[in-house]
Order: sequence, then structure tokens, then C-alpha cells
Amino acid sequence: MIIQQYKIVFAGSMGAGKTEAIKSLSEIPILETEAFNTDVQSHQKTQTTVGIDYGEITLDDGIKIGLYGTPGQSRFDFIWSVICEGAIGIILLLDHNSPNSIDVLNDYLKTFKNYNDNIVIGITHIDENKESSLQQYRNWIKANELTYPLFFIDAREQEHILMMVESLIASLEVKVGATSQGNNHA
Amino acid sequence: MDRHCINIATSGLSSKVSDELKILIRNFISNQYGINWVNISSNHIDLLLINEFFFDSDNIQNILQNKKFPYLKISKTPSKNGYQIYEHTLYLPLEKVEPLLEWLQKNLLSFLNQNSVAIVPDLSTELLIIDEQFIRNLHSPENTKLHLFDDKGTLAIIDNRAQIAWIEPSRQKAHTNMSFNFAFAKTSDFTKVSRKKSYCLQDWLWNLIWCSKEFENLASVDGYFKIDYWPQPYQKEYRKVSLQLSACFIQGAKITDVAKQLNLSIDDVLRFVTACVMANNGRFVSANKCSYAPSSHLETSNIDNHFFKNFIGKIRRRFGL
Repeated sequence: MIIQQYKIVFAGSMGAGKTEAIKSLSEIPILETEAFNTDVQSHQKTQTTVGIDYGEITLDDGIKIGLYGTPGQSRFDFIWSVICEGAIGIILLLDHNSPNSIDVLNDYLKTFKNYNDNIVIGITHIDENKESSLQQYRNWIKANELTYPLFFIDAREQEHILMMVESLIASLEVKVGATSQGNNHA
Repeated sequence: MDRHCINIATSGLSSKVSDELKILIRNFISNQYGINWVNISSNHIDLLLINEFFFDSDNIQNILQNKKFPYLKISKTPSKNGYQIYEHTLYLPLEKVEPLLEWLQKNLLSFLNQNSVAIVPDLSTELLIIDEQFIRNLHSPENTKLHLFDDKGTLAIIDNRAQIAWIEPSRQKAHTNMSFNFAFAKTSDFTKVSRKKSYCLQDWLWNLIWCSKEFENLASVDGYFKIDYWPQPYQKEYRKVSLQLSACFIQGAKITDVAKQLNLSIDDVLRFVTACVMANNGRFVSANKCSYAPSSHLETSNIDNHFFKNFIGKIRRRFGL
């Protein structure tokens, strides 16, 4: 496994779009480890990630940032802490179609905030389930007084993924006071 | 503010064709007139856009004979003589917009200049300050479906129970002004919006107000404000500043501290706060409920800070953020 010093981690439920999200940013063809999905109870997709997806981007001074996608199934949770250590932040994606999606979100957050507290949440597949309210996520964030950004996104849309990356950056900038220059007023 | 408003009816058109025409017409005449998209049964119509197959029906012919207003038939059959518009019929697909614009100028705008047009009531005095009652009513679950409008016409219909908004197609990148208001939605109002796509109500409202420059001075400069969640910006142009403002106000923060820290004008920060208040996201709080600390209070070494700023700058450049 390629371990970069700087990395962004894509975590979350099976079928939420982690692989697509990495594809939308990576400048190299991503190293995928897909296999036939045998857990059709959790998700109907035919293939799923069983190892770690890897993509990368290069900054102008040659520094590489690794984009790591964690396998969605909890039986791979032993690997999550290794990937998340020292990450710039975690993009946590959740499939709106998941049964008990709030419980699933709660479980992932409980786990991942122990590894890294700079987290942004993306709710995906929102057009495929109009019966279930999107407001429930915002209500849950408010009720639990959580400060993580939560957005409704399409994981295939690069601009949506960039918005999530930018929210991770904004959190860090505000935390260390690196915001005082360069703002173009809206 | 006296602003002329044009009532345009569409009939028998697919939502795709209707939406395309609405956007074109809105773009063409937005600076001159407001537009109300009305039903064919409306008492006041300035222009009718109608599917050519329905034009000869008795119902339509009766309306046109009783009320003299211009009409444009819409045909999906390509023109036989090469004209985009011929004898008040627009042939799709629309390859050039100029013939349509010329037709509108000649048959609608010059017609309106000769005749009196409907005047939208002056709403600006009703909403000099958006008070708490206004916002409570706007978001009350008892007010299930509301028609939101301003002096340019319909903005959206919102459903407070489902927390969604259906947008008037030509105003997707809308801004508004102090004439912004709402009323219970009537059945006829639903013809003015597209229900193909629904928007998250709170995010749509936040973006609407944030993009509206008049909404700057409705919050107290000296206050402390805390948002419940990060609003989702729709446009890249203001994404950076809105995310940074969210990162501050999600912790609870003093308005003046945030303006100073982010190097923003106080008006921009107040507009963010106003947009959040209008979207029912957050409230003014006491100082002890706030955990945001400006950077001068942080114990970060200059070397670390410089390295970090440099590193973040590289990431922003790489992604064009």
C-alpha cells in the first residue's frame, strides 16, 4: 500500500460513492480493488471495494496528496485507523437509500471522529429516495449539537467533492487563523 | 418601487420547452419588466405561448377573441421556409434567438408601451425590517405551501412540511430585494414553478438571500451568532467565503470578530447572518455560548502557521478553490 504523508480519506457506507468521488479528483487512474459484492442485503451494487482505493494529486512543489477510499464494510474496520492517521480530513459519504441512515451515520461518526475530527459529511443518492426527508440529517446534526458540515451531493460531480474538500480546508484555516488574507468579497 | 409586470401564459407546452422559453424571455426583458407566469384562465394576460395543436380549439379562440393580446404558437415541426418565426409561429428547435427577441420586441414590448400594464403593488414598504414574526410565519409547518414572490414575480413555492422548494425556472440563480414576500399558494401559482426538481428549502432560501445585496443591515453588528448547520452554497463564486463564515459561526462567534478575522466587510458578514436567520438556521446567542476564538488568541507558532498557510494555499491553487 502507498502511504503518503498528506492524505484525504473517503469513508462511509457501502455504495455511497467513495470510489466515484476519488475518481473525480485523482490525477492518476485510481487503483481499485473491487470484487463481486456478496453482501446484497447492505447494497445491491454488483461490485464493491474490498481493499483500499487509491488516487493522488500533486501540488505545485511536487508534494503528493493521497486520496484513500476505505472499504465500506465494517469487517474491514481494522484498516480505518491506519489510513486516517495524520489525514488532512475525512470525507464521510452516506447513501440516503440506506435503511436506518441516521443510525448508520451515527455509527460511522462515532468511529471516525476518534481517528480525526476534521470531518465533512456528504449525503448521496438523494434523488433516488424522495420518500425519506433530507431534513432529518440537519435536524439530527442540530439535536446533537454537532459542528461537522453536512451537504447533499452527487459523488460523481467534481464540484460537489471540491466543496467538501474546501469545507475541510476552511475548518482548518479557521482553527489556526489562516484566513485573514486573500478573501475576495462575495 | 413602481415596476411594470408582464403576465405571460403558457398552454400545452412540455415542461422542457416551457422552461427553455421562460429562461430566454426572462433574460431578454429582465431589466425592463417583471414577469408573472400565469395560467391561461388568468384575467390579465399580456402574451400567450401556446402549442400549435391547441391553438384552433374553441376554448382558446374564444379567449383570444374576447381579450386581445399577442400570441406565439410553438411548433415542434421544422419550418418549411427556413424562417425561425413565421406568421406568429415559432418553429423548434430554436437555432437562433434573434428572431424570437425581435418578435417579442415588436409584438409584446411595443404593444405594452402603447397600453397600460399591470403595476405590481409597492411591497417595499411592507418589509423594511424582516421581523421575527415574518420569519416564524415563513417557516411555520401550519403554513404548508407558500407562494414566495417579489416585485419581479414568482420566486418559488415552498412546502414547509416536506422542507422543499419548487423554483420558477427562469429564476434559478435568483436574487431578490426588500419586496420579498409570501402568501398562501393558490392552485394557479403551481403553474408558475417547475416541479421536476425540488430543492432543500433552507439551502435554497439561504442562497437566495445571500445573493441579494439589500439584505445586509438587518442584523445587529454587535451580536454573537451561532448557526445550527453549515448552509450549502450553490455557486463556486461565493463558496470559499461562505464556508469560512460557516466554520466560524458553527462554533458561535461575535460578528465583528469574524469580519476582522476573515478580512470581510461587516456588510458581507451581516448578509450571511441575515441569510441564515431567514433560512431558520441559528440564532443570536450570548457570548458564553460561543467557542470561536480569533487567531490572535491562539498559541500557534509563527513557523507552524506560515507552513500551514503555505500548504493550504498550495491545495487551494491545485484545486482552483
